[in-house]
Amino acid sequence: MAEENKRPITFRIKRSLDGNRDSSTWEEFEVPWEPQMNVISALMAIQRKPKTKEGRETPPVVWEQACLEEVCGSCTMLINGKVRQACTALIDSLSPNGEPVTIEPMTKFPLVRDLIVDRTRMFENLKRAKAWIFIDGTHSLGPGPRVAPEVQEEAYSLSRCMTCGCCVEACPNVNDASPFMGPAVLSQVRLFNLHPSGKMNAGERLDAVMGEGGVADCGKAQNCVQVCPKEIPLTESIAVIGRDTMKRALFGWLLK
Amino acid sequence: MRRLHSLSGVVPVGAFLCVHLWTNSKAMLGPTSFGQAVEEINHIPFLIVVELAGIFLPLAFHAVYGVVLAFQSRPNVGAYGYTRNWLYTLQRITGVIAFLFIILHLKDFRVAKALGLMRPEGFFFELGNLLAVRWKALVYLFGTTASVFHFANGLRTFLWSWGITVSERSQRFATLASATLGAVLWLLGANTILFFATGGSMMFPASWVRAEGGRDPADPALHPVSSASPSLSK
Repeated sequence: MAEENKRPITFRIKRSLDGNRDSSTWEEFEVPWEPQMNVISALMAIQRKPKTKEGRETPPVVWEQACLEEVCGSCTMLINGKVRQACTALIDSLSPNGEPVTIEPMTKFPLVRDLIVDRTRMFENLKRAKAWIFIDGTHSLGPGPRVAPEVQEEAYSLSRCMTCGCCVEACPNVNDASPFMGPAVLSQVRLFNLHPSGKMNAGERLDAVMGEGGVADCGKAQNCVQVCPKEIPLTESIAVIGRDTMKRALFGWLLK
Repeated sequence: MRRLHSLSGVVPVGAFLCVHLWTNSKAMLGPTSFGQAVEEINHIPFLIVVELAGIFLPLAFHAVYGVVLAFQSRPNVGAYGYTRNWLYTLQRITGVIAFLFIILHLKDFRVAKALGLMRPEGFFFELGNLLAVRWKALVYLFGTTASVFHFANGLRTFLWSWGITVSERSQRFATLASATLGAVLWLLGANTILFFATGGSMMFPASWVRAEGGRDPADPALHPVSSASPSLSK
């Protein structure tokens, strides 16, 4: 690392103490460069010494974090305008020549404070779509059916979803004016409908994403698959669910 | 509702666009050939019903609901400049342009025909008069371009969202196929407009399209209407 790169890095952070976006303000902080530093370690340094670049004392910036290895999704935020996890946002690649780094909370969820947003909506959607397998009962049902390796592979790629909200954030059709649930839940419907035991409730799940805000409200921009940190084939899922819901809507009433 | 919107864009609205541009291009074969095509259409039984139920109602639904949907979107190509995100944004812009253009186009021809201001037999010459006005020709070229893009890109996303082209590979193939169809339609449409506007053709030598011995539309003999009445042409 060249000597000049060791200059302090400036972080521009969008802040709101009361969760009101309209009164959000930008504050600048300076953090000394350290090897291997990422956005989380920079936020920790700011928390230890909450002083703006101008030297003014300020309440420490708050954010969410848990795993620090991009599997929990809790530290998702906008870094240099794009949604991603802060833990894997390395400063050396964001700011190779000491450029300032901007950090904002996600915009498609209710703001709680500073970089913390409330993603309850995503979990509500999962509940609506019954994104689980019904196995609890009063007696043992024995081992489940075997799953072909091909299906396992397909399901595995979908099971990596951590409900971080990147796909929802980058979707131009998720906004105040539109009821769209976002891509993540559609992919989970595909996952649980692939499962041999989960299939038993396939119809219920499709019903949950068929009405208002469901798969038909997708705007086809396909940003979701581009920003997904887990490389989940979200656009494949949307096409599959689009087809399954269509079949159900068109032919369901003919059969029963 | 949105599924119906997506379907109506392909059939019948998209299909009509193809047929319409194809029929119009017959003008390049000369007034006789074009006149025959117009004649044929005018002899479809229950034409008014076919027009209303088969074209106008689906088109009006697609257009009005489409504008509602366009204003429900929040394009973000600034932050996420991916190709398909650009196509998403352009799809909404061209949709609104096509909406306005089709209103103008209907006013110019269908309303004029309904009010008896324009007879179907005179379409060829009326077109020549209308498109000889430079700005009008440019508006028509622009509107046709937007409509064709909107149709070709809509076809691609239709194939995807209805679960026909699921994999990335099949989606790329569909993109190529719709783009080719779009390019062919655009060449047809743009050439027809250019033919009426200037009497020339953009891509093909004139001899290709005038197999029937059609004449230069700028030929005054072909403009009985314009020579009889004062017009803005040229």
